Amino acid sequence: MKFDLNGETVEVQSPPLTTLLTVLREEMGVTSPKVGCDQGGCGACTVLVDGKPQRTCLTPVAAVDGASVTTIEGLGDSEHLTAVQQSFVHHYAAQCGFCTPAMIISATAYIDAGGSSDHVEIQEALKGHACRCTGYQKIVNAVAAAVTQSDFDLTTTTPTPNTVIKTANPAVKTGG
Amino acid sequence: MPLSGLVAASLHCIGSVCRPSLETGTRGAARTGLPIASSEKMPNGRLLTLAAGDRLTGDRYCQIGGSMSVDVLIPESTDAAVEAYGDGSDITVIAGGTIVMQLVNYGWIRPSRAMLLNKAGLSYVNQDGSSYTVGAMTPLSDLIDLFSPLGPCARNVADHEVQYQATIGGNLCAPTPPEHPSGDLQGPLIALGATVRSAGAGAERTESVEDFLANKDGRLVLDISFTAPDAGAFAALDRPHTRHFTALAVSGAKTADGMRLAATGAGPTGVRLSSAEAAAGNPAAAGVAALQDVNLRDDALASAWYRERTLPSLVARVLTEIEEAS
Amino acid sequence: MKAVGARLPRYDGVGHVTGQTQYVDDVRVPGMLWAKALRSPVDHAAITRFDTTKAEAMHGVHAVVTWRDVPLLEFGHLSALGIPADEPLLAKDEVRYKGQPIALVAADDLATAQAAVEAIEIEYENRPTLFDVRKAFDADAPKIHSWGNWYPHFEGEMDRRQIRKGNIDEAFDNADKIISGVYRPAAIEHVPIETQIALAVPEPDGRITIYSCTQALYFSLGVVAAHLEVPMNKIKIVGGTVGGGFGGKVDTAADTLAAIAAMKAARPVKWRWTREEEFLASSTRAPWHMEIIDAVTNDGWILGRKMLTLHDSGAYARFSPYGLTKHSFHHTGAYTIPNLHFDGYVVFTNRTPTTAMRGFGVTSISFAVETHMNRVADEMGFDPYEFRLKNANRINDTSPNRIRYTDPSSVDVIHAIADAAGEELAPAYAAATRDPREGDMLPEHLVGQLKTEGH
Repeated sequence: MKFDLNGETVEVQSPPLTTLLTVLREEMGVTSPKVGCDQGGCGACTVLVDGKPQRTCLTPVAAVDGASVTTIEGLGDSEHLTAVQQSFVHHYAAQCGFCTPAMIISATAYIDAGGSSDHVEIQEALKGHACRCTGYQKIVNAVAAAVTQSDFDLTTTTPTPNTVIKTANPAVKTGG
Repeated sequence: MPLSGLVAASLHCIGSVCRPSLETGTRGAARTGLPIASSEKMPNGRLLTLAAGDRLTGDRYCQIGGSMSVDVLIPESTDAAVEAYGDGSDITVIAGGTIVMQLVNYGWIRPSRAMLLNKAGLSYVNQDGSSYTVGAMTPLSDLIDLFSPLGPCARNVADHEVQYQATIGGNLCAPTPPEHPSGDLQGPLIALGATVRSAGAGAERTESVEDFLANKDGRLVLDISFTAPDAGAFAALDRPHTRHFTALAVSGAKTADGMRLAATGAGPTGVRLSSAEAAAGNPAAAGVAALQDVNLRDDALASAWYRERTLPSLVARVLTEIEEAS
Repeated sequence: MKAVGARLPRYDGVGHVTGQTQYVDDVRVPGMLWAKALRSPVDHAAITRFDTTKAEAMHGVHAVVTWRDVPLLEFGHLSALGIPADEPLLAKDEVRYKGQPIALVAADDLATAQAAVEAIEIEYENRPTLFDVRKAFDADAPKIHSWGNWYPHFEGEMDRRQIRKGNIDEAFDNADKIISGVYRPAAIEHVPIETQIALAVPEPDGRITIYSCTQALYFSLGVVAAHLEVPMNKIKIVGGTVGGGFGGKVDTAADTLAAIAAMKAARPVKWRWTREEEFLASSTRAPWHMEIIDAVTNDGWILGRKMLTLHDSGAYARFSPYGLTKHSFHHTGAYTIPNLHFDGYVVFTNRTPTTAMRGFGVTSISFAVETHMNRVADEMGFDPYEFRLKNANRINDTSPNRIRYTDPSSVDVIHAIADAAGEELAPAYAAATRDPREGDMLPEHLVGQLKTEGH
């Protein structure tokens, strides 16, 4: 079984039903996707599979045979940070940092797919990711800024306005 | 212990043990605080219960991480998948993996043989006018733009990442663990009068969703067919703490043959709301009638008490929306 | 001092956004074993049979740790604050909460560890349970704790935290109205995205290194050393980036047992809690039951307060007496009330033991006090800002425990809230300051109650 990991082909030794999360962390030594819940609920294990953000804790490695897998290590490193990575630093969008790699993976996919800087849409796109530290405002600001801006000053931060993110109300969601 | 007069007013003494009083207020026009035990039945806060003697560690805490050896088959055609499945007795089917892999990770199931369907050619949406046939492996993300109630229901499931991975077939076949209902799409599919084509022991079968759900052991879903309704609606409870799950939802679809209503989160599987359908002309009455069709219970997401009070308004809302769209 | 006042990014910001920041689970050492715990499936029971023979004999199992392997089984983490030990690191004859750890298995991989846990033979005999703190005081309440159903070891062997100040009877006699309320915030689980975890590595020189997610490295060092009965220089705790703590990673939940397993197996052992264990067995912020009765005058003064607090400590004391003590000091909130009658109890139930969470002991009282202020304002027809400003702490006012306020910010904060809410205050109230009370702001019942020097 083989897959492309951040541009390199890797061969899998682990049994086929091992989760991609375990394979990446234990076999490949790529520790950026985190074990937060092993149930798909927290989002911290998310990477890109064939360009789409996916829960590695719910993916048997056999399912990515032949696929291309991108982790945050494949997006940018400390010498070459992407716009989203820079924006997170500049907007103080990470505190403990545990949710951050996955948050950036999904934010990157959102922006690459043409996502807007509207705060409600960004929340909707990232709703699969739990963060217990930041209160989300700075993350939303960081993503919004990265939609239109590609370089950020890493020597300082931009304060977050005290806005309340308003969403449609409710106790009931409907569709029609 | 000694008590002064003032303290006696706020403490009861039973024997030598002084029990702090819950009766607040000592003089003047006292007003008691919020009633803790109201006369109405309040939901029991401890919803996740296990019988004494249950081995929690055996069934719950195990985060095995899939490190055991399992034979995993990856058929590359539908026929190969059907053949590998056989009568389903000896094989665990993994569609998107969003449900099954949780169970594997926590050790609730320990398959020795598993089959991945990602290469079996079962992901497609075939549309002919208003008739649709959707392959079992179609991800929810391919359904979110379809008509109501199916599209909004798919869009309401979890989040985008899960929607890319979860499939209509897997969702239809969702097991019913005690903690929470799943299989949201059962609701719209029942409301649409959808049919399920499946393989397994004996011949292929095509049957209604309700019939399939009553008898789904040993069946491998191939595709699901339905017709777009004249008007449809979907309403779900939106509670922040249950963000990834749907505690209660109602789907409605109106065709020339009449109104069909179904609910999820109101029983072990999606359920048709026949009594509500019979009263469909009066949304409020239909909402109340729906309570006869359901089997509400407490679970990790919501109590039966809460669902009993919210189901009628979801039903009424769906009927009103369809009425307005017609 | 170039950094003060400057807007600086986090020093670990680049590490976070590139996935380079290291958490305990990212640490790998050669020969590492994986651990799994056997936990109680019941709320309260005697352990009538406990046999680990089969588990120990399993291939791939390197250690099964039980209470017998713990040199000092019960150690009071806050014994320095006078809270005696009451909690065994691993259950011995009984379990008092669902999820209580009974044994830890270290094995080659998680599946083997889990299989070994399931091979442990254990039987329980259920005991009656107690979950409602209000019922803890009934004569027929089940007995949850060897000390009784509430903590009896406050200073002077008091069974409650008690505050008496001024003349409460006179205050209630002189009140125009008595207004009471009951406030019951529920437990809150911290839900850090990183669960509890520890990696313990035995060193060739006889020491042990523990990679820990603790929020309080030196504190945990002391706790581990105490349980292991070794000098602190035998233990090296490597702290680092915590994946979210919020007060829940002060309990030293994984370090000690991982260390004991590592020593017994003579191999490094990693113990990572599942999300389910985190929800069930990791400590939470406590549920509280608070009753407030205020003696209030028609012109907006709170003459006195009677209060009863029941703090749900769960099955063991942990830090609860300390949290309740802090709570008691704050039971007047940002306001000055000269006549007080406060009783607070640390009550034991069969819940998971509770612990600190952001504002330990004080978030509960803040919630209760502010809600009660609104309740009083509603009932008496007061403007909620004016009522607060009148009673707000000022210089030389004293706290419940008689500390003189030297520079309280209550007035300014209330002004800031009014400003943010777009509320215009009457001139007298807009002009209020924190300066020592005088004139209209010094009613008769406060004369003589203030403290003009010292603390």
